[in-house]
Amino acid sequence: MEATMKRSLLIPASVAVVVLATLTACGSDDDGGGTGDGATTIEVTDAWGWSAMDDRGAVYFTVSNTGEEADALVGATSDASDTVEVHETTMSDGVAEMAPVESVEIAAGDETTFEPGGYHVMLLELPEPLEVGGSISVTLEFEQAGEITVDAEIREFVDDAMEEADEEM
Amino acid sequence: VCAALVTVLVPACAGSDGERAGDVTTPGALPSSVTPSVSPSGSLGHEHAEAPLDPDIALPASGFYARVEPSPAALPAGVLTDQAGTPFDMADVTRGVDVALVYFGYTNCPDICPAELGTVASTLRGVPDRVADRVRMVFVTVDPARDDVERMGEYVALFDPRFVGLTGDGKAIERLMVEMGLEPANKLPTGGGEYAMSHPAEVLAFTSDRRAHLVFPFGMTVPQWTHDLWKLVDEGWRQR
Repeated sequence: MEATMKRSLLIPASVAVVVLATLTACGSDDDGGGTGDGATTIEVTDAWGWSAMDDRGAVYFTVSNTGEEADALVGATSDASDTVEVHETTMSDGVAEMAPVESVEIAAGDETTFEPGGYHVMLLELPEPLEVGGSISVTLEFEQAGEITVDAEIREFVDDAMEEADEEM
Repeated sequence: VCAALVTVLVPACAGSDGERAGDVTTPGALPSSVTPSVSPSGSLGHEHAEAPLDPDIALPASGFYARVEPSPAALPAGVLTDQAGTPFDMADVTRGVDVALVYFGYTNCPDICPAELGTVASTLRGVPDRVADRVRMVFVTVDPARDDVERMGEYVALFDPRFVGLTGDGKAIERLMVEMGLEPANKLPTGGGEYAMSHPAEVLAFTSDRRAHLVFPFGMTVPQWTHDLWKLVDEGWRQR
């Protein structure tokens, strides 16, 4: 939170109100974004993650921009790893490629779901595998809304898919 | 005998709450030919059930949710090494099964590889054993420099111990990809000496005629996979 406060000092006064509202919301609620005060324009929900092998993981979530201005995710940090990047997987002609991206714009009134095959927050050099059933803290940095911290639930590959299957059947 | 039936029924339905068995086992689908001696692999309820459809998406005219290839790749030969350290010739991948699924990826891939393998593993857990036992899932690394035999073993075990994890000579892997009509993988530096790999986003399904008639693009759901694999096992590949 100290880092968060410092950062908010760098943000123009016009958005400081929003940022402070966000901080207040996050301080008491790990669900991401504001719930109840109505001032927050970026909301992050349904955060989850997994680790592929010993040293890499990915975190996914849904970002909703309920404001009237576009915002962008420009960075991320986590208590699970010192090396965190925002990546995008793209697929064309049946070939998948993954690359770091500078920012991910979330248009006003829009919602973007970070999911396998699209955007993810990538955790590199994990000191240990992420514990299934546990959770990690991920702080997302938005250009306008500042930092939003969420808890990402760590899922298992197969059980996760089975849950979806049950829902769909 | 009853106890035996129950014990085989439970694992076959595990994960789906037995709901699907009820859904697909229409009265008409329980014919007189039900064999009293149920094989150890499969439940009575599933034994003669047809492949269940995805209730959310209409079945394409091809009869499969996966893409049907007009000119399917022929199965190439090429010897790699499985997770037990045993030589594995790709030419034998369909031996003893009705469907061999071949997917190229790498263990450091945090995104679509685990999603895809997790979907296949979930599918195989949800179908009757008589279907799952006729499907072989093979994961071939495109990053043999990092993915050695041991690491492939650890990785595929995260999904399903029946999965085969192959590594080997990079050139041999690349040749297999090209012969299967796939783009060879490329190294994509991500900074700090790290790299990602480009790799096919699709799973090829080779049937007993040693051709990949079906290609499963990324993003197909468990119900869609379930239908297609089940149908391929029951009916084999038939040109429509």
